Amino acid sequence: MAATASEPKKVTLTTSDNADISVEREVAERSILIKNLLEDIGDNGDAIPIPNVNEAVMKKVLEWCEQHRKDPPASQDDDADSRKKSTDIDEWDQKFMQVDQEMLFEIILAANYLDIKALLDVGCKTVANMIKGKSPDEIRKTFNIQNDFTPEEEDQIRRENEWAEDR
Amino acid sequence: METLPDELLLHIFERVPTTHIEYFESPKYDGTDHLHQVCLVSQRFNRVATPLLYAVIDEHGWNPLVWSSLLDTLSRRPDLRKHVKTIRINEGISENNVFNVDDTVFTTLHDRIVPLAQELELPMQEEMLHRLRNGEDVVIGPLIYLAHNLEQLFIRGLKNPLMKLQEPLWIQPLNHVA
Repeated sequence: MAATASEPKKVTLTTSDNADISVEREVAERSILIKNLLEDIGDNGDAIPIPNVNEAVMKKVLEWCEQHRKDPPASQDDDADSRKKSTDIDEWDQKFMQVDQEMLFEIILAANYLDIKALLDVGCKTVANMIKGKSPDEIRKTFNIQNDFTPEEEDQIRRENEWAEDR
Repeated sequence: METLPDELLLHIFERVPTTHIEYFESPKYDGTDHLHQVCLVSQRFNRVATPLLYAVIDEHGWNPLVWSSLLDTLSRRPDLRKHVKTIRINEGISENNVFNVDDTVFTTLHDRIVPLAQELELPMQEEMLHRLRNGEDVVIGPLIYLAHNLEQLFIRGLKNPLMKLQEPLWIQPLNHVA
């Protein structure tokens, strides 16, 4: 009995592309969505469907959850504070976020869907850091964005925001 | 980037400014410079980032024309006024920014502030005009009036409140607001 009690509880997640991933419950519960699901339906051993996240992204997200499994849960205050703090990201997270842009945005979408605030924050900070210090044209090039302003619209915005010009 | 909904784009843009904007003694707030660039990227970026650009007005040695340019935009675009949540100014603004009455700065300020003061029915308009003619920068008062959702007003470096400085005009209307 004692041996089975110390065995970590596991849950199975079924991703959008029908892959089953088995993971320790404590790790999976970094996701508030999964935590609430487990509390609501009870852990009856059935696989939990995660229809908005595919296997590759889910594995990446769970890698982050594993690393941060012992982090204290975020309070309401933390959420308000995080946007005021400088764009510092810890070293492990920086390395973790060194992925292609498509994966970066997938991680952000998944973190939002799965309700993992700290991961969402790290993802958004990573993108924010890619924006900082760039001209509009450089930002467009970085993220492959079309300039859909007419010259008149662009002029008007420049005029209205003239006070914000770097001086 | 296109895959992200506006809500997540906003999350990202909120993390673009990096200074501790809450604190009095913080270094330069860098949000204005960066968000200004973000607004010029595309229609969607502009729509999402504009409220953030206007949320924090942080003065750094601005001359009266910068203030006047901001006032001009806020008077033409009433929809932007609600976004202004924090204003941070430097002590002695009226002292530092004294200009000559024959200056074009005076004309520009005068032409912008007088109609605005009338439109907003600011108190002490005559006093304001008098001080403007004496070369005093009187833009803060109207700005505070325009920013009807203002939550925080910081005044930097108020070292000696007993200094023999004339009370800046914008302080006085604040009593009416309070």
